Amino acid sequence: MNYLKLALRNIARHKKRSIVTIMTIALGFTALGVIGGIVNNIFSRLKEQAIIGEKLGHLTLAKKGYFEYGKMNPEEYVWGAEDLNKILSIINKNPEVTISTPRLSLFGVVSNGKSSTIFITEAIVPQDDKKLVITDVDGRSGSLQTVSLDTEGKDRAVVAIGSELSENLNIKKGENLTLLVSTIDGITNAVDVEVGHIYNTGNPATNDKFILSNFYMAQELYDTKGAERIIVTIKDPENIYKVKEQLIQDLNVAGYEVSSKVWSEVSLTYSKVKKMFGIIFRVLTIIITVIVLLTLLNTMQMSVAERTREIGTLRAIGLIKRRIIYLFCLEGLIMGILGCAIAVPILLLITFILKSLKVSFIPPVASTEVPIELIIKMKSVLPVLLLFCLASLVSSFIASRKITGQNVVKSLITIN
Amino acid sequence: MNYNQKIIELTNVDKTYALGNQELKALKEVNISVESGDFMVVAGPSGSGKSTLLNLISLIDVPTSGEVHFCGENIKNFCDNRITALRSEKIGIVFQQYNLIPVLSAIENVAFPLQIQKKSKKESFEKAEAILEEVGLKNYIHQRPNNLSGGQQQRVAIARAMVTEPEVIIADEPTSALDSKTGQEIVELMKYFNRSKHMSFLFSTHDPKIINTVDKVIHMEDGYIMN
Ligand SMILES: Nc1ncnc2c1ncn2[C@@H]1O[C@H](COP(=O)(O)OP(=O)(O)OP(=O)(O)O)[C@@H](O)[C@H]1O
Ligand SMILES: [Mg+2]
Repeated sequence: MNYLKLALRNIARHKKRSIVTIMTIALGFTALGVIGGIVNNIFSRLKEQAIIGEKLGHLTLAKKGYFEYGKMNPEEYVWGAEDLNKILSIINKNPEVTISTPRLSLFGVVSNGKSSTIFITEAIVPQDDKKLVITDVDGRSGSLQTVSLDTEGKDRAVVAIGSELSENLNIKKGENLTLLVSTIDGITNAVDVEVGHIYNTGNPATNDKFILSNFYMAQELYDTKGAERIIVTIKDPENIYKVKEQLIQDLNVAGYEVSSKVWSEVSLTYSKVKKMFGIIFRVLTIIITVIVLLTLLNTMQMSVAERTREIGTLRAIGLIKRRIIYLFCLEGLIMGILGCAIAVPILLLITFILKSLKVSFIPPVASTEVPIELIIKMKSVLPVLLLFCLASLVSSFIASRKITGQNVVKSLITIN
Repeated sequence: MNYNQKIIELTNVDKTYALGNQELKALKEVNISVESGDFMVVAGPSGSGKSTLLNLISLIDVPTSGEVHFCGENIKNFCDNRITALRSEKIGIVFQQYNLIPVLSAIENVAFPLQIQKKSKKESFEKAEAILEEVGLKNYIHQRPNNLSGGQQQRVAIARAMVTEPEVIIADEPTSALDSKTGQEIVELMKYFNRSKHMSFLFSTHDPKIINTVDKVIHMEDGYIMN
């Protein structure tokens, strides 16, 4: 027997009820699609913020132990000039590597002449950074507005500072600041810098103390020719862990003990925010799946109750229990799949509308605007589809099992 | 086909229903057999146990005690799937309310039992069409049940019961939902198949006119078979 035909006709028999059920499923699927799409978008923007905005690249390499103890005695984790050059040349031999750039971070006191406050600085090589800011992230390149430093040698003493820091020190673009730090040997050193850019770091925790400075100036200030970290970007981020292991191994062979972290491990916010949104998404998925399950259960129970005598008849004329349960499961599954199928064009339409409206918002734990767009990924849509199909099957099974199992005579004398 | 071969045999059958904490004996010490070629009526007042008896013979219910043999085999130890298969192959059932599948057309309803047996679509529909022609519904084969009169629906139901060429067709009050003339026609149709195909029929009725036209009548009263 063509069960599919029978199932479709039974669905069509109660048009109103079937449509309500299918639309509920479609709505649930659309809702999860939209939420998932927004979450994917936020993840992707946060990723961009980490790799480019926080200038973390794909990989950070440092002396072994740096990530654990580097903050306490930074001077122990600085590579000398000779080591640095050797390490850089080994890294650059790897064909996956696109950028490798040394970094220094310093902290100290910054003064405008009248008042002062603490600062941290990330010292970058401007030429390399120009390349970093146009790194491709999830198919977007250069979409994140971020600050870089001028590449001319004469502008070594030009810095970019966090917008809140500029407000606290009442300093404007073009004005001067004095940076005070301890050198690698613990001697106090100072330098006058010019504020070339004022920008929002995208993170409220750093916006009031962050200074972006020139690597070569920072080397002089710290009295070193070396660096404490190397930032690496690679061609295909899919290979990130493979490249990481390869680099560590290559450097090990050359006698350098290094440890390395990928951008998501180094970023202050990414993992936390991702975890938070991941939990929200999962909870919503469960709630909506339960709603879908209950709606389907209700529909299937009504259908089974109405067709009790029909079930008895089918049993009497020779259809085994399993086949009847199968028939109801097929009906449920068809409605589940139809609901999801209807949701797909709706989801695409919403994606298109949001893209053309160009709305944006400021996500939590960030201070820059992010466009509201949907990034629909098979990876996140497929599990929802499977979950909904499973919910359809489970509800149909529960609804049909009991009546199918009951005495045939009892089913036959039921009046519908 | 062997004549006078026992198809179904009930020996010392009791059927007790639980009604709250009381028990109701619907069948008492029943002994009966249906033989091939039989055309039998079960008669008796309301509540005498006719339906209960036919349910046991149709293998859609089991006795409280006593034994049911189908073609010599005791069905006591058969699992549900095996009994269901037995019904599918050897028994045709016709219901008082016709019980056609509402989403299937007449021909699809009739072909259904063959498709349960995994017969090909072609074979099933050819047989179904032929038998629908025989019951006089040649022009209605693509109608759904709700477009057919009660008498026409019962004809479809008889065709559905006949199509698998079972050993016996069992019908509990197949005419009581129909007017007396149409009821007569249905009985005539069953008689026709009994004669032309040596199909055994066992059915129940209240209608004295019908009872008078049948040779083998089983009278029931208060759960007992009286003759
Ligand atoms: N499922 C059941 N539960 C409890 N009692 C039942 C059940 N089915 C039948 N009975 C009782 O068993 C007795 C026999 O019922 P049965 O339906 O076999 O009678 P019947 O001869 O078919 O009557 P009718 O002519 O009204 O159809 C009746 O007293 C009836 O009330
Ligand atoms: Mg009865």
